[in-house]
Amino acid sequence: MIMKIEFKHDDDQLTAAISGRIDTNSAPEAEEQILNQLDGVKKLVLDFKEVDYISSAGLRVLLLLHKQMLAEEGLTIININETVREVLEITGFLDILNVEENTVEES
Amino acid sequence: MTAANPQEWTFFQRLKYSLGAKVFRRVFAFTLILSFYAAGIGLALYTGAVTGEYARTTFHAAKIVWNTIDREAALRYIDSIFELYNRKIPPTSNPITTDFEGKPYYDPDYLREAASYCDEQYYEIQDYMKKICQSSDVDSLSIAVFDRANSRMLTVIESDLEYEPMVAGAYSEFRREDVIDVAANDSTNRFLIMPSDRFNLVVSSSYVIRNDRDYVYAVFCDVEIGRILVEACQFMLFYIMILMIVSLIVTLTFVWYMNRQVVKPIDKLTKAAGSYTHDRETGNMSQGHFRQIGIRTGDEIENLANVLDGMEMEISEYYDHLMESFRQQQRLNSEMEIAERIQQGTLPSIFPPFPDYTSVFDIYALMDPAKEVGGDFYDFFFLNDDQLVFLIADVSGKGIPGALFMMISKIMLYNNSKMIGPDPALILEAVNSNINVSNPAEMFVTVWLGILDLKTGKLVAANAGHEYPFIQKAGGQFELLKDKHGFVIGGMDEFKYKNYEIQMEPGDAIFVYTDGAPEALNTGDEMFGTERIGEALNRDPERNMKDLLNDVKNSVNVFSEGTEQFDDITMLGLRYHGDTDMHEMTIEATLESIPEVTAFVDRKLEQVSCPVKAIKQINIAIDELFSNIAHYAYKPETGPATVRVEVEKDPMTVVITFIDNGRPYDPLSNGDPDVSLSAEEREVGGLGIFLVRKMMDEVTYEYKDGKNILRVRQVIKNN
Repeated sequence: MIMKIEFKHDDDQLTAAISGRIDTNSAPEAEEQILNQLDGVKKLVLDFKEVDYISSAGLRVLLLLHKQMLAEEGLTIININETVREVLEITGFLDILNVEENTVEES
Repeated sequence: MTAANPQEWTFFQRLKYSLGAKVFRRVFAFTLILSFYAAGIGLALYTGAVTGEYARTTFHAAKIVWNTIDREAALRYIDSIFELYNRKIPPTSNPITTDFEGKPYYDPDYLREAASYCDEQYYEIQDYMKKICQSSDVDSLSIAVFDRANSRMLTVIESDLEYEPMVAGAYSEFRREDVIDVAANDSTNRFLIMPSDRFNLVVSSSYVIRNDRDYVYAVFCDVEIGRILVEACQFMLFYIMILMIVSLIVTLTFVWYMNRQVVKPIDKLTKAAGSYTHDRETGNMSQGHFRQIGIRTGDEIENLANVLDGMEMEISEYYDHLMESFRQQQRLNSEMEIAERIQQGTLPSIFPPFPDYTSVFDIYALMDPAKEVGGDFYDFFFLNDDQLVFLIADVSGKGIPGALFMMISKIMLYNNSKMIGPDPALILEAVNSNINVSNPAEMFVTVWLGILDLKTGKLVAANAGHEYPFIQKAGGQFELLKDKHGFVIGGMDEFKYKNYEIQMEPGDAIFVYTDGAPEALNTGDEMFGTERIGEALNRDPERNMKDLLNDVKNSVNVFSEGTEQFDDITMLGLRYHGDTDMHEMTIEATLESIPEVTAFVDRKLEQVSCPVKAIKQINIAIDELFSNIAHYAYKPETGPATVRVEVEKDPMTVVITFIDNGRPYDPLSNGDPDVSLSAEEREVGGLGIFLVRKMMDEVTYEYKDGKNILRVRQVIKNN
């Protein structure tokens, strides 16, 4: 399955709707695509509605983006599913990142 | 060295080596030698005749002189001059002195005194002698005394036709011992051919008047023959030239004739043979090469041409026959090849043959046929969902008969199995009686046939004269099972076969084979034997069947290297895994392989209706663990990694095993990362393995036999 990202700019807020898997192979691409869009962005929202799962390589990207956005208004992750939530929880990322807790059903 | 092919001779080579040239040189040289020889003999004979004739003439002239002159007067002159000579000329005045003109110099007093004896009668005698010279056709006549002691000739009276005669008393150095000596003994016809100052060649004879110890008195007569001989030689030269011309003409004629009769026809034959060979090589099948040249010499050459013509026709016929049988052979060969392909095609050759059952059993079979189509075969098929028939057989005889019998046997075994059901002994009995209904060639086949119940692991088998099978209990060694042998199929009507049972536990295996393997010979005529088969199997008995069988086959090949394989080597192996569900794949350990591995595992998990959430968790584990292997196992190169999926039941448990041959590396040995740190302090390293350990029920690592074996276990809870 191929990972895809749709970007939506709204003033200084960027919403990136990711779909697919964020794993070893797709994480570097996700990182590059999002970083390319960050010019002038104050607030970054990652929409995980279509994300199947995330592995440690994806977590690396989240941590990087988080650190990048600390200077601005920060990074928010929305619409995580149960699997993603489990991963974030186990790794302690749930405490670090700003995650909106309204988990979606597994599809 | 002659050039290899006379057709390619240059002009000079032809001049040097051609048959005509050789004959010409030899014949010409021979005739030349012959003519010189003949000319030489002619000259010698002529010279002999001429000199003989002149010797007679001169002797007669001398004799006539002495018989017709006044002997008393002559003797008086001889005595007085000889007396004077003895008185006046001492023996010491030798050599004779010469005057300034080179003429002999005599004491003038002596000559004057000698001249005083020469009266009128002396000159009459001299004139008379001159007339004798003219009438006898000789050059000179002289009455003289030869002084033996001083080798001097003392002239008394001389006449000469051409020159001034010597005066009385003149003497000259003279060596005429031969003549004188011979004359002394026999006063008949003696002569001498001698060179003289005046003449080239002279015939000289003497008529002896008196002969005592010191002196010889004689009439000498000379005639020059040099001129005559020169004429003879000139004639001979002319004669030789004529001979040369004649012999040249004769030789040329002969060579021309030989060229026409021999050399030209031989050249034609050579050319015909050359074009025949060339035509054959270029595929031109035309005939009559030797007839076309039309040699009509009417001799041995024509005979040779006729024989060659006959030979050409015979070769052509023979060649046509040969081509025909070659085409037939080719057709047979290609038919054999097709037959072989058909036969091989009837043997299952796609492995694994039942992809849905790879977790239940592992089956593999191979056949390494000897040169031609053989009689070995194997087969396996399902009777129903749970019962698998597998068999191996060896037909007596090879080639077309063996192949035909093999096809019949194979089909009968299949049909009877399907009809009769899970009873090997009955199946073999039925096939035996069916085959014996009509078996004109008295052929037979040995069969081992087993039926495995995949649910229970119960194996029922029967053996119709086939080799003993090898059985391996899980974790143990392959051992020969001396099972009950029935008689071969096709050997005897109405034979009763017996079933025997083996309980197969998960991990147990069975290996059957034909006699080609144990009876393979090495260069020392030693058989491979079942013991060596056992050794090959037990080198690593836990391997999959494909590797196991190929190892046995390679062992046989190594053993019999240098000998010709005389029998098919066929084997079949089956390992029973039991009721577990296991799937395995081997792939290059790179990051790019991860999607394929994930898809493979997903497919298996979907088959057993694994919940989506569990699949995602397992996918995360695969991503973490496989990327770990891709990064570290073979660094900086890559290598293979095997991923095995096993699904156990009650409760449903998924076990995924990652196996690689890389350097020993235990990913679990690193400590857990601190997950309570703030974002600024966090490191991502080690998080993946930590995630897997937290999410999976069990993660184990072991390093065994040079392999990293990482196993994750997840019990699936249905929502």
